[in-house]
Amino acid sequence: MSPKILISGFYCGPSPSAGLGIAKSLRDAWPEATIIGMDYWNGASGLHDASLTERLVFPSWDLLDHSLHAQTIRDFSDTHFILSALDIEVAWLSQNVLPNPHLLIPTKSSLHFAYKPFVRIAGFLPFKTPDIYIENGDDQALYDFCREHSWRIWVKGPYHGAQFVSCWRDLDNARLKLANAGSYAHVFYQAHVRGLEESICFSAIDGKLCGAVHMQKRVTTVDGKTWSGKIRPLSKRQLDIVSDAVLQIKWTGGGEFELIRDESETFWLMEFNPRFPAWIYGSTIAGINLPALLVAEASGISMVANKNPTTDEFTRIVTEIPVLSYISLPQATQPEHGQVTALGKYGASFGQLESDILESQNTQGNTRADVLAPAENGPTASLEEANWAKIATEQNSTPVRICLESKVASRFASAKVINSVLGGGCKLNVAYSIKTCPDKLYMTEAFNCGLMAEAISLAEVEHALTFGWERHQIILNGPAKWWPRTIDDNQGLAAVFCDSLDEFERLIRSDRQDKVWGLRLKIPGFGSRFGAELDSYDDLARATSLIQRVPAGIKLGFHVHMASNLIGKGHWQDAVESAIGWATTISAHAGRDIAMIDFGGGYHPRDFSHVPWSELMSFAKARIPSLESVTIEPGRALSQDTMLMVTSIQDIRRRGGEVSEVVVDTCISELPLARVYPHRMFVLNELKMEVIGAGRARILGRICMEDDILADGVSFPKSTKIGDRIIIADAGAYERSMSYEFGYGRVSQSF
Amino acid sequence: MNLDTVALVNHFEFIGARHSELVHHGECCQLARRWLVDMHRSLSFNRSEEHRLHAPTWLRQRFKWGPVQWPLSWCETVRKSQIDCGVFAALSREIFAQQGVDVYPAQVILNQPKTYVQHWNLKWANIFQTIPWIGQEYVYHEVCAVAEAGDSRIRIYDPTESVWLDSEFSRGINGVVGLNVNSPVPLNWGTLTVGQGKWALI
Ligand SMILES: [Zn+2]
Repeated sequence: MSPKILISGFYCGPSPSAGLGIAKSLRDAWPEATIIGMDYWNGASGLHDASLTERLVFPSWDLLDHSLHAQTIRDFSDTHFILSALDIEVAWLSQNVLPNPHLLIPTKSSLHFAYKPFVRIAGFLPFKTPDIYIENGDDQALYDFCREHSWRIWVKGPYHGAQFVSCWRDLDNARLKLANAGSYAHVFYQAHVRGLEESICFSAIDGKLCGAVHMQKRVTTVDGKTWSGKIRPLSKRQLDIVSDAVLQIKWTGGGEFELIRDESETFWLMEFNPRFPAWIYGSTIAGINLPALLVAEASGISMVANKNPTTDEFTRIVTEIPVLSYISLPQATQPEHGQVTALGKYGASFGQLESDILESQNTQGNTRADVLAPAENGPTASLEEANWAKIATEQNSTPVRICLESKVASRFASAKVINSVLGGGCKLNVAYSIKTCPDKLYMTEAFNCGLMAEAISLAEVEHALTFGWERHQIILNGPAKWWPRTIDDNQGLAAVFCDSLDEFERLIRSDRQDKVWGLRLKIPGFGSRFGAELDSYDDLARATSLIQRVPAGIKLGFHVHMASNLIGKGHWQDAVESAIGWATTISAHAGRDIAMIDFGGGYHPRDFSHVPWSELMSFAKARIPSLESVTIEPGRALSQDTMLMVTSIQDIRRRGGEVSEVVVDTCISELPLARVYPHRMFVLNELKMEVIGAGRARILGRICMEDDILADGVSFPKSTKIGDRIIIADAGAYERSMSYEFGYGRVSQSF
Repeated sequence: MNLDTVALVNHFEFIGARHSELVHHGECCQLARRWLVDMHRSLSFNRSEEHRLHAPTWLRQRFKWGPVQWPLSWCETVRKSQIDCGVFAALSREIFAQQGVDVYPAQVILNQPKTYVQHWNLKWANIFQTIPWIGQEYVYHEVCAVAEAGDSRIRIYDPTESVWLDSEFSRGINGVVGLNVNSPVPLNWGTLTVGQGKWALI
C-alpha cells in the first residue's frame, strides 16, 4: 500500500522551495505512491521532475479565488496528505483549512511560536537569539540600537527580504525598499552574528517527533542559500531538546531551526521555518528521510524502500530537464525600458497575501507587540520638545536656524563635569572640536567651561586665540593642519598630531617647539582615510624609529579618532583599545615614554555621558604607566541637538487623500546631513505639535536639485496645510558648520 | 583505511621531524611579533563580538600560500606576501598564545589526489631540490591545536585555509589521515587520543 500526497512549492531557482526535495524523498520511500506537485506559476521548474505523478498549476496568489482554493485543498485532504513548502501558504492554510489528520502543517497556535521577528520557540531551546528591534517609527531609538550593535545590522521583512546595512543612509534605503514591497509596520532589525551556518531540521505530528537531523552548510550561493552540506544525526541530548520543544508547541509537519555557530561554539537561533528546508533531499540521501517518516507516522503505512546511505554529504547540480508539454513554459514578457531582463520569480505575487496574513495574525491577537512590547504607536514629543512649538511660531520668517541657548549651556556643563574625571591616576582633558561649530556662543561656552580647543588648521588655531585660549591649550590635528600658514607658525601648542609618517618626519626636521608631538594611528580593519599606516611591519618599524628622533624636550602622544556615532560603541572601544596596544608597542621599541593619548571625538549626544571614561583611562594607564593625561575631542556631542531648523510648508501633494509629498522652504544646503543620521521632526498645526513619524511620505527641499530630499518614509496628519511650520531638530554641529548658501540669487564671495 | 599504516609512516621522511619554527634574531623579530599581535587585536573586534576565542582568519587574507626558503625569521616573514603552511602555523601559535589558551604545534597528513600532488611538486621544485612534504597521494601540512587552558579536548585550526578541522574525518580530498600534536600531555581530538609527539594514523 502506498500513500497519496499533495505537495506545494516547486520553484527550483537559486533560492528554491522544498517541494521537489519532499517529492523525491517520498518517491524514494514509496515507488508506487501518488505524488501530486502543485505551484502557482508555470515557470516553477520542479514540476517537470519525473518523481511526480501529476502536476497542478494554479493562478498566482493575487489572482486566486481564495475560498475556491481553500475548498480544493479541503477536498484533496479527504484522500491525500497535504504538505506545503511555502511559508506564507502554511500560514494561509492554518487559517483557512481546519486541522485534519491529512493536513501535515502546523496549526495556527503552533505557528505562533515561529513568527518573526521574535521567535517564541527560543524559550524552549538552549540557543542564544540575536537582539532585534521592531520598527515602530521611533528612529532615535532605532539609531541607538544600531550604535549599540556596532552598526552590523540586518534589515528584515516578516517573510521576505533581508539586507545587511552598516550606516543610517543604507538602513533608510533598505527599509524603504522593503516598505514598498510589503508592510512598513512589519520591518524589523536584527543584530548580526558572525559564524558558520547550520540547521536542525525535523518532522513531527501533534508534538510527537518523527525524526531530526543536523546539517552544516559547506557551500552556499551568493545569497547564503545551501548548495552543499553535511548531515549528522542528532546526539541523544540534542534529540531530547528538540523533541521537548516540538512537544511544547504541539508541532505538526516539517520544521527547520536556522542556526549560527559562532567561534566560541555558541549556537544562535536565527529563524524558525515552519516547513521543510529546500535541501531536505540531502538528508534523505544521508539515510534520514524526514518527509517519509512524517507521512509514515501519519498514514501508518511503512516505507517500502529505505536505501542504505553511501555518504553523509550532499551537493546540488545544475542541469537541464525536458519540459512537460501540457504545462509548457511561460512566455517571456517584454522588458521595460532600462530593465535588463524581464523574467523573475513569482515571489512578488505573494504581496497582497503576505499583508493579509500579517493583518489576520494581528487581529487574532498574535501581534508582535505582545512578544517584545515596542513603544506604542511610535514616539511622542517630550516636555523639552513641546516647548519648541512656541519658539517656532514666533519666527517672522523661515527658514531659520534657532540656537537653544539653555541646551548649549547644559551640554557644556556636562562636558565641564567630564573634564575633571580621573582614572588610574591620570586626568581626562576635554578639548572642544572647533570645526564642529565655531560659532561665538559655543566657543565662549567652551572657553568658560575650561575646555581645551582642538583645531584642524592654523586658521582654527587663530580663531581660538581670539576667544582667549592660549597656544598651550590648543591641540592641532588634521591632514593639512598647517594651512593657511606654514609649519613654523603658531608654535608652543599643547599637542600636534601628524596624519602620516611623512608629515611626522617633516615635523621632526622642523624647528618647532610644542608640548606634545604625536601620531594619529590608522587602526587596521576600520577603513579610515586618516592616520599613519600600521598594517605593514615596515611602517611600524619606521614609526618606531621616527619616535626615537623626537627631541628630548617634547613629550610623546598618540591619537585615535573613530567616530563612535558612525561605527558604534563596540567597534569604538575596539579601536581605542587596539590603539593603546599599538602605542605601547611603538613606545616600548622606541624606548620613549607616552605622556598623552587622545581618543578623538564623534560621540553621539546620548552616548557621550555614558562612555566609561574612568575605566578606559585605567585600562590605558595599566598598559602605559607613563601616561599623564587622556584627551577627548567632543564637538557633535555638545552641539548637534542644540539647534533647530524651522521651516514652512510651501506645497503639499496628496495621493489617494493621503499626504505624499511636502515641499518646504529649507533644503540640503542648509541641512547637508539630513539623510546621514535621523533627525527628530515635528509639524505644527494651529500650535498643535505632532511628531513626524514613519510612513510613506517625503519631505522635499526648495532647491531644484534631484537629491534635495530631506526625508523619505515619513507621515503627516491629513490636516497638514501650506504654511504650516515644520521643526527639524538635531540641526546643530555639522548641519550648521557645513551648510552653504544656495538658491538665494547670489554666490559665495569666498571662492 | 586500506593503506598499510607502517608503509605510510615509512613513506614520509618527515614523520619524526619537528614542526617548523621561525628564527628569532632579537629586537627586530620582537617588533615583528608585536606587529602580529597588534594586527590581530585590531582585526579581531573583541568588543563587538562576544567570542571567547578569535582565530587569526586575517592571515589568509594577508598572505598567499606558496613556497618559502627556510630558515626564516619573524622579521623576514612579516614582510613576505607568500608563506607556506609551516609559517601560517607558527604565526597562528603566536596569536593564539596571546589569548590565554593552550596552543600546541600540530602536524597532519592529508589525503590529496595525484592531480594535486603533481602541481605541488613542480611549484616547489623551483625553490627546493627535494620536496620532503609531498608524497604520492598524501601531503604533510602544519596546523595548530588549541585547547582551553588545562583542558585535554583540543580543536585543530588550519590557518592556511581559515578552517577549524572537522574531527569526524572525511576520506576525501584534504581528509586528515594522520595527526601529531607536540604537547607534553595526551590530548583528545574528538574520539582520537593524540599528543606527546606520537603520530596517530586514522
Ligand atoms: Zn629579525
